Amino acid sequence: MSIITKSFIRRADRDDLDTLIRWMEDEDFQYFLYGDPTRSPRTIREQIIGFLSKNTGSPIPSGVYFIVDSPDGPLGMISLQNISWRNRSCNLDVYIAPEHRNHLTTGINVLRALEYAFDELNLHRVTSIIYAFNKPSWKLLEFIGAQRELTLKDHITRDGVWHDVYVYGLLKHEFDVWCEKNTEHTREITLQKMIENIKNYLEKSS
Amino acid sequence: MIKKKYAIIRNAERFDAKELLRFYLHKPAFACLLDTKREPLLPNLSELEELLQHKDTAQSFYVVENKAGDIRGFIVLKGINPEVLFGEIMLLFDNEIYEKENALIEEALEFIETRAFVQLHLRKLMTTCLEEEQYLRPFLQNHSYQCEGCMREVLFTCGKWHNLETWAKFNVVSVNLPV
Repeated sequence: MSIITKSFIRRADRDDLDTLIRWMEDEDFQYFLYGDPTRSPRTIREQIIGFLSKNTGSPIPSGVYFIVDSPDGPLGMISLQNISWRNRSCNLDVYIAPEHRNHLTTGINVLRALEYAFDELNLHRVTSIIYAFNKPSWKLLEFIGAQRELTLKDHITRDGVWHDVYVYGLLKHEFDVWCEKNTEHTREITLQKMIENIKNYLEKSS
Repeated sequence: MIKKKYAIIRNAERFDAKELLRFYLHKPAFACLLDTKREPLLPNLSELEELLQHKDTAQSFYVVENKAGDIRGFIVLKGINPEVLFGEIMLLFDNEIYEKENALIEEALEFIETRAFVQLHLRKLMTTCLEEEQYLRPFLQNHSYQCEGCMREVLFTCGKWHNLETWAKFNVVSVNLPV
């Protein structure tokens, strides 16, 4: 049985600025991602504008920032950052707004972002840095076939407690094997299928 | 200038740039000289001279000389994160020095650890190591560094993929202290 979803990913643009600022001010964003709670709103705004300005349509971008969108509005963001064209690698970060957080939406769109990284950008490796207490995130990556490569002991503090940080790595051939195994379930959620659905929607609405 | 039994350790100066450039030109690259994207940097001599001229850099780059005054390598303490109290060390020594003048590197490491753990009260020191750095790995292991894992196929150089290990050592004094 294949999975069906109305969510899709698209390139973030300037119109997403307010949404992104709202998300970055979310406590979870700072708790689970690399946020520094002491940052001022101005700093946050500047950082996001920096993200968006890097997010050009360049064939060799230094980062790609996706909005996870839906007919009901944006759900979250996925970024492929620190793209190294020499090493054909990047870092993956994912944020889904609290009201839309579920494994299915996250999983489907992470798969699409990975498909974009490996099959469109021709990357060889995707790295993800995840705090040990963020179990749903590292479980998802393990499900997709990523390997926990580093365990950085007592590497960050949250609420006065030291936590480990995990570094996951996923290589292209590992992702290909996973996709091959799961074709039956994922055929309706591939990037190609998503683009076809968007085209159909645009044709109908015009 | 700090005089040890085998080593003389001093802050790097712009005149040391030529020696430092030698390490940047080394193939395959030294793991600790890779940037945040794990890409090898290719500075030229004038860029390194400028780097070492900078006061902050000069204070974190140390030249390690033997008693005859010959430069044997560099040791660097950088990337200090004051929030979580960790720093990165760079050990830049040729394999030959590990083989023939190991005691000199030990003194340099002892110096940098004292600086990090005692003077700066850091909790953790980290460094990276490529599989080709066959002398660095056992050296770290012999000095109580623990391997925190290995990133696979993270660097492409010399026509092939390379894995990158991360090694760390905790300050035994501060490891049990609360945050």
